Amino acid sequence: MEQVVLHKRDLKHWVDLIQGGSQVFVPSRVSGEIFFLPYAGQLESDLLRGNAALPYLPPKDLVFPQSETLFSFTRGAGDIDFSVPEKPSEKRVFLGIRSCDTVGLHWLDHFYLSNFRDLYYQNRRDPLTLITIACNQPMKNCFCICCEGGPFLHPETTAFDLQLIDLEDHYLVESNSEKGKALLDLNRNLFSQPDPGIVEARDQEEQKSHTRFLKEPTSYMSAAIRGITSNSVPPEVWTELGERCFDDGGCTFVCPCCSCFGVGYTAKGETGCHYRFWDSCDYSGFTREVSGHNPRAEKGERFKRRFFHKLSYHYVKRDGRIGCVGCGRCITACPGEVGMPAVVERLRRG
Amino acid sequence: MFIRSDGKEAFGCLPMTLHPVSEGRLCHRGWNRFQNLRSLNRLSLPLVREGSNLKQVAWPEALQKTTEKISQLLSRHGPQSVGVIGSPWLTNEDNFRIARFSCDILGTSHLDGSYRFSGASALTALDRLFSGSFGSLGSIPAIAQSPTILVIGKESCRDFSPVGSRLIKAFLHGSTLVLADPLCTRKEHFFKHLLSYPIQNLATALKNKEGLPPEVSTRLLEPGLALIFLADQVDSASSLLSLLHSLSPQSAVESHLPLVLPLSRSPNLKGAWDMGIRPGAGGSTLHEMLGEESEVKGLLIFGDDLLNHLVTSSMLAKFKSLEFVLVADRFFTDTARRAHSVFPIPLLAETEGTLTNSEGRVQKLRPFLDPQGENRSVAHILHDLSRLLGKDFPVLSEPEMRKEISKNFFTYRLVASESELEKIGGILLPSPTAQLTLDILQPPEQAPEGYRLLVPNTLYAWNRNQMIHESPVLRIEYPSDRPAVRMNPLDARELKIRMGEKIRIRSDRGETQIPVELDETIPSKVLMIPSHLAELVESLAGKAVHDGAARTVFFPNLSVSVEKI
Amino acid sequence: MDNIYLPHMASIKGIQDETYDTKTFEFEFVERAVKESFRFLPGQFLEISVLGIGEAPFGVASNPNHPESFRVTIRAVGSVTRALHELKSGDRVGIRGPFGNGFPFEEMKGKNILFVAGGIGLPPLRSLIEPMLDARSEFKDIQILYGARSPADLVYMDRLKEWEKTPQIRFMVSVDVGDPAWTGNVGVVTTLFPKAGLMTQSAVAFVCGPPVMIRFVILELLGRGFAPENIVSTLERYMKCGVGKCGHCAVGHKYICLDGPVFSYKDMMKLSEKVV
Repeated sequence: MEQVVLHKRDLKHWVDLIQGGSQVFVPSRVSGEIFFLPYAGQLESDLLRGNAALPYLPPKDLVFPQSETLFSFTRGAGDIDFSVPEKPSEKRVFLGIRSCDTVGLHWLDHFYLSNFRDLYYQNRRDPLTLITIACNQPMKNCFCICCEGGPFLHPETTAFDLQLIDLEDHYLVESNSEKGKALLDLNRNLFSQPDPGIVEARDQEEQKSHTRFLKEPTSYMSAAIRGITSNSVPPEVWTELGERCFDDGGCTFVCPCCSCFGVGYTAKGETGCHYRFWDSCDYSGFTREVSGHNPRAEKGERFKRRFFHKLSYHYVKRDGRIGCVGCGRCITACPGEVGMPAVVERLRRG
Repeated sequence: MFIRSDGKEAFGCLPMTLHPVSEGRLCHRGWNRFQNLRSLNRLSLPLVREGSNLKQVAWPEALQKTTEKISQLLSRHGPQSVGVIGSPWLTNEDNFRIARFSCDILGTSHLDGSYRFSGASALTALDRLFSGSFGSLGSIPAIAQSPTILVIGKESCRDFSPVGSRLIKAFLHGSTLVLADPLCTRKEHFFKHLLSYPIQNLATALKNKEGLPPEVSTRLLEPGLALIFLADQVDSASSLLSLLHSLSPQSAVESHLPLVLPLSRSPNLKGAWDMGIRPGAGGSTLHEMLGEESEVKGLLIFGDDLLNHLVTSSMLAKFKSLEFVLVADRFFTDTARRAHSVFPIPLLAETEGTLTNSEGRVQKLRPFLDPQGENRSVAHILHDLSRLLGKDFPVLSEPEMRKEISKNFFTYRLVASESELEKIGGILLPSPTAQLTLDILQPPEQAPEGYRLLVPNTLYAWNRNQMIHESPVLRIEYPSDRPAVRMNPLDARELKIRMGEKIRIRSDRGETQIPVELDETIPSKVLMIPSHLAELVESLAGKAVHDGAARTVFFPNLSVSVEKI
Repeated sequence: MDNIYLPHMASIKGIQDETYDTKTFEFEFVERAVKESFRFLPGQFLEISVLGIGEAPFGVASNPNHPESFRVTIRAVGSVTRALHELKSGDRVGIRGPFGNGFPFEEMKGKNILFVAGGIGLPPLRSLIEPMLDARSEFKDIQILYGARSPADLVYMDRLKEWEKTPQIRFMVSVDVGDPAWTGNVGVVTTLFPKAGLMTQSAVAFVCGPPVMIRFVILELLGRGFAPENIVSTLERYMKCGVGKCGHCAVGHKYICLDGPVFSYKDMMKLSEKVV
């Protein structure tokens, strides 16, 4: 891992330089909402500081879009012509991702690129470099620290390209991959070597940040993980929680670690296409078979299933970590107020 | 709601956190709205019938042939031989244009909406209660502050998550929630009471204060009540009026006006109603237009799959025997299949215009895609038809239409302000000031002996709706119903009936043999046939009952006996 | 690189009507390279698509030793299967696969094998029965018990007749409800057990059929001394991708398309959701 210092006044120079070879995406406000949009010469610097600022949708949206065509076909005289969407040719750099979203994206990498490799995901992911900004101040719903999702990324345990740590008028830039290093190499003159004082300041900032995110070290999740793994949560609890769920699917769509999709088919005349779109295990039809039989007909069963997938130890072994990064988006998106923290609290209460 | 597109097509949508109603949440229809934009079932060119087939033709020919047919009807049989149908799937501006067109250009007073059997009864009741247009009767965010909330029909909260979320908030703050649904066996934990009465019985029970937990009778009559129901599920105007009458104490003081939320899954039920998509003087409702004595020989149907809404087989037969049918729609629906002319129109996602939701909130649509294929806006179609009929019906822009609307309808007077409309959350129509108590009361239902058969307008009817049908996810969430009667498994076991087996059901109006579908959500001694299975219902319930106030028909709940065959 | 979501086209070589709602399709890949390199294990499944209509998983029902063409038995229940039934010889479908873990084969050598099939559960088992018959001497006793709702619901009638006659296997069939021409056993397939002379030592049972039937057969087998790890069945779930990505077929911490569809009863009991 390499550490260098970037003065904040040089940030724009660096971004302009990166823009020369890649399309940079930066957090930008539209009608009051934050989105990752192509850089057009202006940086909203208040969204690039240590204060956590999350867009409504996680960046999974840019590697695994809400819907995408798998292939289209045309029936010819004898043959059928298939056409797969072109691989995106431009390189992309996301500046201003937060640690929770970075960890979430790596969760998706592990899921989509292992076993059977998902070409569509890979084509969008390969040209992507992430510049994470560590969070010194949480937002209202943040709980990444309970899920090993932040607020600072650790180079030994977490993969990342670049991490920027906000230290007043400059950033400490930590590079942890070849892609990250390549961005620094664009102009080494913008960066200076850190003196020991700065490294110490960085560590102190991390400590302070930890306390701001969590007053005392408490393991909130482990009771829930244990209960779910050992299947010792009484079914009435799941029924009650399930009643608060309105089958809207919001939590699964905004979750950086949710990856389920459905496939749709259309055809007219001689052409058509097969496409995929985000699907949700909350939906009553998710497991309904053509015969009408539904193994998870009961609402509580579906609700229980979702949290089993997120928190049980079986999946931790399979995926490398729990399926939650503590970004807090499910709290915003859930009408019934049964996002991750509410459920974990209920499971702890017993 | 934001729709996301990559320049060529829409690939996703997401809520706005700053919107006062959604607050960053959507229901399952909201999250999957973009899927029907991918459908290849869109109509792209006009179609004209030649014999048993519909042929694709260019607009000039389609308009020519259509106007010829309309002219023929007008000259041979007069203007009252043509009926016009507007729809809750069109904007306020389009519905207003349609109303003007039918009056000024065609000269017919036979104008109605496709919602006549699913929503008109509820709106009629509310209109009469407030003697005219009722604006907004409450907002969804205000539900969270109501100390008592009466929800009629479990689908009202399950299927509308912004409403559901306010119910949860209210519950967490100590409000009392009451669910009234005759088809529900189990209430969620946030409801304190479950009343298994249909609306009519509820009204009587409240009046007589019997058969209800004492707390319920008291709380429902206190100020601050919120009343939530699905407009489509109100079968007759008098039943809703009875309920509202029983919820307001004798002195009918203004402050005791409950918050009333008539929900609908269609986007512009209230707007279409407010824009006057109702018969003029001497005109017929949709029910009457398709009645035996109707003079209507041709129908112009804008924006909805009418066949989905017809509830009796005689109406269906009359529809099939019409001399001329024009359908202007987006997808090739069942109704379009039977039409003589079909005109493609843009989706709501491709139009600018306003919609009025169940709160009475007027919001502007922002089109993000160019109209596809050769579809034309309703404004242009009406202009072209008029021109060929020798009259002038100018194409006005949406803002100009809104100025007209604001002049014509007092509750919509603020709609002309484009800057107000631009705000997130649009314009909430003003609340009504006067309330009249009216004595159109439903006679109390007889207590059923044996089984009670309910014929509600359920979510199964939505499987054929185009918004739902064209989306792979929603199609599965709104499954199609088998032609069967739903019965509780315990009742079936008692009668030794297996799933799929036919049983004989007898009422005092008819009898039928019908297979059984087992459903644990149906209470004991209750049977349910969804109202859209018209033929099955009619053989059992005989002719539909007339609702004089809403000038429509419905099938009342029946006492029936059940026999294994 | 291989695109796991892109199908290869196969054309229909032949269609056999099995019952009033079931047909057996014989497919052959269009591209020679694909046809020559195609291999599958008994018990694996293919994702078959009618382009523009839909895609669904089907177990391969033919002998893996002859993969140049392959058979799938399909009952018409939904939009995809009904669309498949409308096709004729020469028409083309999309094929992805083979997916799934397949039945154990090598480990079965030297054992007594029992097959219990119900209705449309026979097709996937057939992909295991046929290669076992090819290598008959490697296995001890092979017994097949087959049950269907009525004589009209039996599939592979020609093959059943051959199985009845051959000394290589012991075959018994039963129907829940007979018809005037039926002279065989009447009753659910478990009614065959007392008359079957089951070999329960060093034996493995393969069970396939409707969930209700599987439940009762497993109870019978456990009662007769079969150990849970020696009862092998298949689990079915609604599937979309077949490669463990879409999430629909997940049961507990396993994916039916990756870790199944073949599971021993012992493994089924370890899944965190009730499956049988």
